Amino acid sequence: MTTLQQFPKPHAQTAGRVFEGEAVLILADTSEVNVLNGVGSRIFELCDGEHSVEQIVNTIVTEYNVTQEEAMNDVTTFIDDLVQQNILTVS
Amino acid sequence: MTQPFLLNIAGIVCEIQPTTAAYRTAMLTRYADFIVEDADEIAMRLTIQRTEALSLLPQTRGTTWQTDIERQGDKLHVTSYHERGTIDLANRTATLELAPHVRIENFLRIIYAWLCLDNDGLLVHAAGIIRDGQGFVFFGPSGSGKSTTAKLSAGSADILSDDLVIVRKLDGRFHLFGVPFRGEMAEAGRLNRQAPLVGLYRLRQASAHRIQSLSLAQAVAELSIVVPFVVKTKEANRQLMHVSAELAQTVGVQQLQFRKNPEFWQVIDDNLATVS
Repeated sequence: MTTLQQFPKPHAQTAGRVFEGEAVLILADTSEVNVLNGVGSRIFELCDGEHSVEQIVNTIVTEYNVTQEEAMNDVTTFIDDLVQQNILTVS
Repeated sequence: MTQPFLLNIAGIVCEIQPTTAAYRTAMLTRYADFIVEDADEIAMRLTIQRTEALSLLPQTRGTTWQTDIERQGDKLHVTSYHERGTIDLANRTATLELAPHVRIENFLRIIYAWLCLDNDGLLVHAAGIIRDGQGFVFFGPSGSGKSTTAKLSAGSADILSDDLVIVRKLDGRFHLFGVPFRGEMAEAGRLNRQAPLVGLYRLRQASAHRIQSLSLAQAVAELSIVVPFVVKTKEANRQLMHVSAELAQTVGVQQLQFRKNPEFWQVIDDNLATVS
């Protein structure tokens, strides 16, 4: 379970790039290709190893005009999911 | 050892050193249209050895052809049923050991997939068609209609392949290139021809012809899926996305919904007319 103080970043074997607000991810291990939606792409963009989960939550609150609780739930669930898929790692 | 020969596919030259004169003659016949006398630059030097009774992977009837590719640093180790080889991407050399009855084509496809990626291009699992001097690429998963579009176009266009083609940027513009590799369509010429690339179309069979735009991300994702053989390391995938994005931005990647008749060309022509 991701905590607010952790710093997520892309997995070593994940290539990701944002194109016009949509992130394309290619996973080296499985050759799987994913396209993230707008919010997911923004969260992925912020998962650069330099933003804590708390900072990412606050950014989403500001940019998407949602409540702190909604953002926290969405961000942590999303990051947990990507960690499980070996797309992200947390430290 | 016999005299090596030069294979030029999409402007990328590979020097091939066969072991016997007979094998050399067979390859010169097989790849005749793609052989050149000299080249300014050789992208890869391949040495072939034939080994009796080479059996490496268990072969099960009816399964998809299996080729294991493992990357270790700058080297790719390739193993299939009756062949194994190493491609040294740093030194631009390759060695291939194969059983007498096996052809080099599988290994060549892998070599060229990597060389294309390194040279502003992609080896794409797609149908490639030259029509009125312009290049068109139709791609999608198995069953999406690559062979169908090729067969429907056979009377009015040159079919480079229904299976594999190369798209590559030369002199600032992407071109479609034929390759000598076999596809499903026996009558496809495997022509050594090229044409300026004007469209890439992701195929979906439907009840009516229609072209739909794709977002840049969708286009990159769709193209990335149909580039075979490239071992998915992070660095290769980055380059794959880079080239795919450039293709999407400069040539355009769209979705073509089509029925099984050649009238899809009218839809393509009308669409090109609106964007030109």
